[in-house]
Amino acid sequence: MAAESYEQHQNLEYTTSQLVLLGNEHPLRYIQKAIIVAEKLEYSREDLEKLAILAQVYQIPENTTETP
Amino acid sequence: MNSRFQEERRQPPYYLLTGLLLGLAIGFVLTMVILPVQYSNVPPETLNATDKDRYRLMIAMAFQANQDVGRASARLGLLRDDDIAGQLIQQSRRSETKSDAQVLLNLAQVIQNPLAQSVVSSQPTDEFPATEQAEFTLTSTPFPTGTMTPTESINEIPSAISTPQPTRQQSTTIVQNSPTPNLSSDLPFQLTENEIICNASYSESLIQVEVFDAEGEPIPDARITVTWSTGQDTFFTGFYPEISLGYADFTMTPATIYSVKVGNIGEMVTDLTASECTDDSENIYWGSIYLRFDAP
Repeated sequence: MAAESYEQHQNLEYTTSQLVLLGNEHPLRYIQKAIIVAEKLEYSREDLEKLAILAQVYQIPENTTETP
Repeated sequence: MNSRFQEERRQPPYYLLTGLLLGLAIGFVLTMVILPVQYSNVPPETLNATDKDRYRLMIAMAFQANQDVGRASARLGLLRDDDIAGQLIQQSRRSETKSDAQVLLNLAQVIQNPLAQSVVSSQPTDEFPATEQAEFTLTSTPFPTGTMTPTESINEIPSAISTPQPTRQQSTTIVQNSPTPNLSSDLPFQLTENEIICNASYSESLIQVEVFDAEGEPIPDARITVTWSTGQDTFFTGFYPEISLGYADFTMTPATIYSVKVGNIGEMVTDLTASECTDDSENIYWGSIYLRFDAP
């Protein structure tokens, strides 16, 4: 649901506020777990793409903050 | 020797009691602080009321994105509520923001009336329209940016994150308001619900009126008359279809006593005035009043 609504509103802060409800891990971990479960449950490709897009969004800031 | 030995044996085993107390204390610290219970893979129906509200709101947000009522209904079904739409409406009344209330009401309305036509518009607006045109536009709300803090660890990953079909644009529902004659004026509407609403997010103290027909369907274009000691105002339902086709509201002035009537011969509700409410910080603000009128 977070991935669905993120694709519409593109508000990462709000999506993060939804994902932190799942626990103390980084939101990216939950998205990765969701992708694994979704693949097992044979979710549609569109659903998996939404999750992948959201996962990418969380990975971008991490990469940019790395020092060369 | 024998008597002294017997005397020593009669002493209570205090060391057992001390051990029991120590064990209880260590167990308490372990379970409450060091290794608290982590719930995982719990079904949504077992969530507490606050988390159920969050779950419903996430469903409503996702519905706003994909307009998939079947998927939204399936998700809401996991909560095993008796009255799904009713729960959404009740939650919308206690929502912290008007935008949350609107997305919840949108979903409730579609669940109650699946035939309501939904289209996607590319016009992003962020205010509630109140036009007097025959075609009412329901604007989707701006998404909130507030950050919530977790209160409980709930690992319900797949249902909480995954799923589908979005559009980058903000969706707009268009409800066709057919030019039916206004027959509601001569119905003897009766008050069926009178509730004080304490919601600090309301910027004004309102009289919120909803009018329903005998089948429980909201009635647009129902005339509502509000009178007070120095004046009177008349307005109609239907200008906030994003809330309900039978909804209308009126802004109260504190310390003024109002009377409300629906139609020509509806029940007159008297002695309505803004009540004082208190928020979490003990600040006092003026509450609103919700009135529901039903046709017999």
